[in-house]
Amino acid sequence: MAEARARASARQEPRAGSREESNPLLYCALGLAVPGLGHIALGRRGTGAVFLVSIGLLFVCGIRMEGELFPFEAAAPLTLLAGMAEMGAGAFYVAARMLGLGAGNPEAPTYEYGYAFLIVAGLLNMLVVLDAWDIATGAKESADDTAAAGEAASAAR
Amino acid sequence: MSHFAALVLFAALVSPAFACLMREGWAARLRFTAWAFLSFVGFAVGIGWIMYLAGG
Repeated sequence: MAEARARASARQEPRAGSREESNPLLYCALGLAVPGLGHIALGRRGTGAVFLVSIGLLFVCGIRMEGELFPFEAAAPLTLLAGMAEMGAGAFYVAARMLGLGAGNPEAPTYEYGYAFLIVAGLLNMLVVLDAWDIATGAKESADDTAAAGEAASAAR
Repeated sequence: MSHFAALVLFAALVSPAFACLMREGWAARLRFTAWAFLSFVGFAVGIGWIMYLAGG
């Protein structure tokens, strides 16, 4: 009971200078620009590093497998959706476009794998951005918050 | 690159990201990573065998 009350008050009372005072959209924008950067800015460096490495490697492997960065063609809705999904990889997508990578080679045996990796990298980063939003708004309790609530409950007893 | 190698690479890269999204604490994340990796590979191999046997 005391623990539940402490948890609720820990959620309701943001600490001075804490992330609750910042705009959650800022963390989402950071995460969308560079995978994992939103989590790093929220103080979850290890988690952010995991996202950066796994999404980055997925994208790089997709390019190496001769996958295609699909163009935005309104006439082909599935191609449009695939292009939008790939764009979710943020900085990796922009860098690949600027370097002229991702032309795709449909004759390569790994072509389908390649664009599947690219699409999943983008979609996974969109999930990561939503996770950053949940953490920034307090909808998802972090391990730090749980520990703080536990300490508060011990102090209340 | 073989189909199996691509599958293993995909599972190895996606599993830790899902673990960080769905679990709190590094021990739980490590367990979830192993479980998700084995599930990805196991289900793909299992479904492959089913298709092989069903297709004759």
